[in-house]
Amino acid sequence: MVPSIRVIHYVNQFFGQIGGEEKASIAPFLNEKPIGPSQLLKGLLGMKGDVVATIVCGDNYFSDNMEKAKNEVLRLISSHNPNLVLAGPAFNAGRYGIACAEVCNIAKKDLGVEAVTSMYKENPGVEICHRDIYIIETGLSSRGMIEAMTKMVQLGLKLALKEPLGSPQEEGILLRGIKRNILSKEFASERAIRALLAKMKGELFHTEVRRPAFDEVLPAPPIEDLSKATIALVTEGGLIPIGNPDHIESHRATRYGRYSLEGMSRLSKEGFESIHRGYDTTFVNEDPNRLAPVDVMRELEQEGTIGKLYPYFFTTTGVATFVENSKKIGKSIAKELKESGVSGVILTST
Amino acid sequence: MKLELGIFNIRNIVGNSHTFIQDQALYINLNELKQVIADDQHFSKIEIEIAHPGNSVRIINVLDVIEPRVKVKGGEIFPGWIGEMGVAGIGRTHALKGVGVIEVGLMKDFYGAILDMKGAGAELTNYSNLHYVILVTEPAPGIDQAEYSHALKMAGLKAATYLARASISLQPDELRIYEIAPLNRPSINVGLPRIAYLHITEIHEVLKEPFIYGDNPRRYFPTLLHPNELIDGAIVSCTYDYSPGLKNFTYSFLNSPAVEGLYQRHGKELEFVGVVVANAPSVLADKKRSAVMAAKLIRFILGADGVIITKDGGGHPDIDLMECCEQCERLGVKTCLINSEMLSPDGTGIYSMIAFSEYADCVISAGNVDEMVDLPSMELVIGGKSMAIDIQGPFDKPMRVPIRMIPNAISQLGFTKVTTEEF
Repeated sequence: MVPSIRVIHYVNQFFGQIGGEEKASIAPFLNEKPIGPSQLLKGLLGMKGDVVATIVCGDNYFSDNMEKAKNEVLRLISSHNPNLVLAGPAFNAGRYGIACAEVCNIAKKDLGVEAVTSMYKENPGVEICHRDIYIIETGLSSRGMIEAMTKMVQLGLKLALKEPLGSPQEEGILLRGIKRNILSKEFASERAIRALLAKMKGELFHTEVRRPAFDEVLPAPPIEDLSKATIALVTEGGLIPIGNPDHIESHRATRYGRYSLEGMSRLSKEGFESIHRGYDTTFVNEDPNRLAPVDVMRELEQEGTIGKLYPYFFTTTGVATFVENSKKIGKSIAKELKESGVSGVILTST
Repeated sequence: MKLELGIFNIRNIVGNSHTFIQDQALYINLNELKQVIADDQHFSKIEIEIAHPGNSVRIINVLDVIEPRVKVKGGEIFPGWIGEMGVAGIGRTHALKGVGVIEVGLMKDFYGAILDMKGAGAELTNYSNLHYVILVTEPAPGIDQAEYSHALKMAGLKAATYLARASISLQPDELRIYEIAPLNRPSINVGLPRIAYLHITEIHEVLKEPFIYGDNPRRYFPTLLHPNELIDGAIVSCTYDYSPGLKNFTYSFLNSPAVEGLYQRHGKELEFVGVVVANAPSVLADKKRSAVMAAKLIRFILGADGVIITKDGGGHPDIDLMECCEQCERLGVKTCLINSEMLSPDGTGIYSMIAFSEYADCVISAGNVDEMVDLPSMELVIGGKSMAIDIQGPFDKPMRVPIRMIPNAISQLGFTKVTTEEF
């Protein structure tokens, strides 16, 4: 039987048997013969695959010339048309781990080739690729080489042959902080009662959701002179011009709108409405100023209590909106406000 | 409080000229059922359809699912809705297991679920195992959301009791006794862990609430319920405008898996001391008050040492879940929470809940609400030609929908086997 899976193995100068730190600046090159751990790889693949090339690159070269090195490696990989790229194991070697992570990203994202790497959980390479690439977890030192390579091959072959994967524990995969739905053997209520009984008895119990770390936001310094300040209105209450020209979603928003207040003494109900699906919008639709208080702000502007009202208001829909999207929207709005010299914001939440 | 629940296992439902039960099959006079629920003021159309597990059928605009139950003697069922106002949870009730009544309706903002009777979607929910009587309705012209939703609820409950009435003179397949003694009686189970069940009701706004004893729970202080009251329909879903995965259906309140699981262990592994329902108000100060009062009932009135906490809805009730957790733990009551997670379709979200107390060290996941499911094509679609919410047809073709569109698949009452795994 002809081996079906074409494997490229990426290693650094040390495992590529070029040399130690003194050779860490060597540019990437390709050898069609298995080198170092690639020989082990050949044995592990057996009849299922073949090592078509080993790519070797110095760790310093990769980290000092990142973009150049990535392009070179991409070219070398695509020249041999693999079905699978394996990188490492890098154990706790930081520069090597980063290179392995980048090489796997190139294979998977740029070339659409399955890729697996392997390293210690605190290797900085983890952060670079763990969302997209499976990482076989290793210990700190290279003593775990055979075990790590065995697992990389098992997982890599499954990926390349599109076979179902076992659980992360069975495969030896470093948990990536990504979750997927699975079917448990029992109802959630049963697991809850058992966990509670264990907790009450002081026994070990398993929580299925861990508390995330929350961001802390430092408040901006107080506005020194309100009468000279430009104040902007921002809301997540789903307030949009009738017709929703920017197609802002009624929930789980990915977009925000920026609308002119030029020449308006108040928001008219003929001009604006709320499309938010998370609260009763009756009152806002009767008087949109109760969500974005343009009427009051104009009075304050006239009185001289504030310098002026920023001529645009910003709006999105904050209901079941992913935090990642909210952050993007918030940063983008804050950037414009900051660049325009706005010193205060009234942020109405619903 | 003692309740006898007569269980009738139903393995088929069939249209017939009379309504009766024979050899575990429910025969239904569909014309008579239609007359029972007919309401000329609120519906312009009512059609009754039947679907079975394993059928190539997709039911859309599913607004509620109700198990047929009827009160045979003593007490009331679905109090505040049909019959007299009276105490639920006493006397004798009959339940038709394996059957569901589905309310289907379509109006602006009504957020119905999609229930497949076979395939990938069916595998995610125990609701696909039921034989269904489906009430497909259309609102009369000029009817508003509140009137239509009330009419739908009455139709669903009337249909459920009409069907269960066929069992009244028959011997059940099984008779279950649900009984917990009043609080001040000496416990026969001294030494067992004392566990309560706390459920937090959503009171978001109109059409987003379950009702208690037939009333909208817009404002109330946490109160005690006997678990038997849930079995007799003290809590009924009136949640017509809510993401289907994040609401709890009447069927799941009737069959509350926490109540069932705690009852099964009552007197053996634990002592089930009762149920508390608390509110999820919109203002933080009210949330804190509600949590404190709920924790006080659990610790000092029920004398519980542990509590299972569940909730309705997504978003702000996470705060109530965590406030209740914190207040209970501070009083020395150990907690375990059940909640679904919002992790975005690819599961990469970091904040699966909008609040997370440091006290919440035991949380059971009912799945990622956002993960997508590929539904296969179906031969028959029941429940209309369109949906009110951003899901487009054709509905007989393969569809890709978030799991939260599938009823009970991510049941926050814990009535699902769906959970998450990190990978």
